[in-house]
Amino acid sequence: MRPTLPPGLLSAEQQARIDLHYRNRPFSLFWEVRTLLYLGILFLCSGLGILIYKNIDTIGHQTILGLIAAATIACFWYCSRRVKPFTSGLAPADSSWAEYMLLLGVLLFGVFTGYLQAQYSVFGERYGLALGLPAALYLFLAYRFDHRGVLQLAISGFCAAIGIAATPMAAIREGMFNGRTPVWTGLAVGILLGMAALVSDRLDFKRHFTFSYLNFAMHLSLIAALSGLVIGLEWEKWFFFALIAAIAFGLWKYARRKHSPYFLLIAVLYLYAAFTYIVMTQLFRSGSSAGISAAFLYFILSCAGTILFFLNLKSFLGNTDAGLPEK
Amino acid sequence: MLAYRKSDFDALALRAALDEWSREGLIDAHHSASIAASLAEKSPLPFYMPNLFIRIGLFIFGAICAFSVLGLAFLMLEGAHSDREDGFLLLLFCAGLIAVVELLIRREKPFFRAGLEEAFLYGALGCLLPGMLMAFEISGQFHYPMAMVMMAALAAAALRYADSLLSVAAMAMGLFALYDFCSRCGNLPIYVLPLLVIFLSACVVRSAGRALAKPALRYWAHLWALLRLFALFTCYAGGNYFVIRELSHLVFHHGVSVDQEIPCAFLFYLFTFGLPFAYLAVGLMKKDRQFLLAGLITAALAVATFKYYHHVMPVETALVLAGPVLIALAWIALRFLREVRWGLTTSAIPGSAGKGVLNAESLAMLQSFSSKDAPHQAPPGAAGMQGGGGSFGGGGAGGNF
Repeated sequence: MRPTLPPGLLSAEQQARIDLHYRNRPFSLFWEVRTLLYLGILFLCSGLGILIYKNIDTIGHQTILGLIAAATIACFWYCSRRVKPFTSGLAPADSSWAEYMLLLGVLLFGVFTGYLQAQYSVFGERYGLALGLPAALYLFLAYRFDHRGVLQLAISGFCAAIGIAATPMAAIREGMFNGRTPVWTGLAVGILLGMAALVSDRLDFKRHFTFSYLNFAMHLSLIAALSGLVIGLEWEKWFFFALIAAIAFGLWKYARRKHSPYFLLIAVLYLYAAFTYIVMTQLFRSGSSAGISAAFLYFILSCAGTILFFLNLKSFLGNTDAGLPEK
Repeated sequence: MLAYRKSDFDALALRAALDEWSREGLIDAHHSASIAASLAEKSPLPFYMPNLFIRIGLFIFGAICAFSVLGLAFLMLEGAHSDREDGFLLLLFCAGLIAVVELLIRREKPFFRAGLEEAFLYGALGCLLPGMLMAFEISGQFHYPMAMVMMAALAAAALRYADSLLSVAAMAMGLFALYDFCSRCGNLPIYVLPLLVIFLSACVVRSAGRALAKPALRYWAHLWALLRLFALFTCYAGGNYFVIRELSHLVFHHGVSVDQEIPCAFLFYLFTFGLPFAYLAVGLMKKDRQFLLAGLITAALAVATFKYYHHVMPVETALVLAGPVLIALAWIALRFLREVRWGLTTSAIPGSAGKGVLNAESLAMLQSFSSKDAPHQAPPGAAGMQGGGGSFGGGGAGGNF
């Protein structure tokens, strides 16, 4: 809907220019075509994956492997032909076609190594290697072709290689972090990724990758610490709570510096969950029925407090209307 | 009717337009700044409209807070109270929440798409239905008279608070009332139900389209837009083979067995496959993004409908065949529309390209976030796309302002 401006703000010439622009502007199918492209890639790779999984014993392995390898090489060849010289900053955008071909190549390569491992056990029992090697390739490709999507695939591949789920949903679904080892592993990987984020940001080396690193680091370490809080013994609980508070404080500092409400929201949500967990365990410790009323009261007061915090954010955070999370 | 000041909405729309025009170089930055300054003098940013993430946070904590108040109230009245009293308590709570929403809107800077007032509003409307059912001791289930009342309440709230999701909820409620009415009145109404749904949806599409073009109704533009998109889908659902067939043995409890063919199956199949093409054609010819989107999604639904009843080939074969076809289609479109033809192009034009989160990067992120543990397993196609829906989140088409 085009609003009508109060008279006198625009000159007649400007008004005419704007009218002409709206009349002549072509209709862009940019996102629609990209969606088709992505769906095609997704269908092809999922279909191949299931096909191989189901027919592992009946089809000619060499043929299938050869076909997938050929397709992968074709994708990478296409991308390498169009690659721009490496820069440590943001590379100028290429056509969307090349971007998606890289994605297709990467996913096909994943199918390829998975197939190799399933059929020929190339990596033997070292499953970590089977997952880690492609991830290393992805990491290289992500930097070379300046592709944040491939970087995210690389990070989640590394996490899978070490044996932890990289995302909150997967961690919950698979009951990760039920033991102490995964908790510490998760924290270690989180710190590692956080350092990667710090390096990208401070050294201005692919600074636009900072968001991806930090996002994974944040979720991984906070989920791990939250699990530690739940399964830990008395003193461990306090340690992990302090850890969550510290991470949340760090994120708060970062969000303030970058004017990024995304990190702020995530920090608040995790911290609230941890704090609520502590309060609830204390409230229901004695097992009295008064605990329920107290719990409701706690929720009312704490939520009201958090709402007030959000409403007065401007005075803490500066201008948050700046827009999307900086990436 | 509208709870907000109309002039505030105009000021907001003007701001967005100035942004767009200066971004596209239609007015030079200096001039736009001077216009913005003279505007800001007359009317500063009229609303409290926080960033999306703050909005999500306010919504979550607002919802928890509201329901804790309700929980505490029930707990305090523990013991001697009947269903009827519970119902009145719910209605009281509903009224209280509406009062809070009104207070938030009457502030100097009214809350608008701020999460908090949305949480309270949705909470109030959610309490309204069980409250009415319990307080007035309406026995049995939720039937069409109540659905009509709810529809009126939802529509009124949608118009008053300019909330597009509520308008869709109102329409869904209305369609439910129609279905409930028809399924209770013997055989004839149920035969005309598909036709009625298609006809009414088409009417909504048409009148919402007209409302979009009416300057006087511009304050609800996002509402008409979302309503129109929803009606495109309900129109399709009205004649979709799967919907008709599954509903027919839900409604005729006896007489129609599960694997029995429905009457006029051919017509319904024609509708199922024809309408997506019609949507796509209209979308491309009229340059209407909503028809285009509805066409793409209903086309996928048509294929899914056919696959549900006819086993032609295994899923994976279909995927492997469909993948390259889609890629080829996209490639042809990218080639053919590199330059503008028939007013269409595939290059990104700011302001003209639809709002998509579907760039390669965020999709790969989605994939790495949704696939089980590694990209090495077959990416779960459908699950990944559903995850994508979530990232739109919040107020539907609300971001247009």
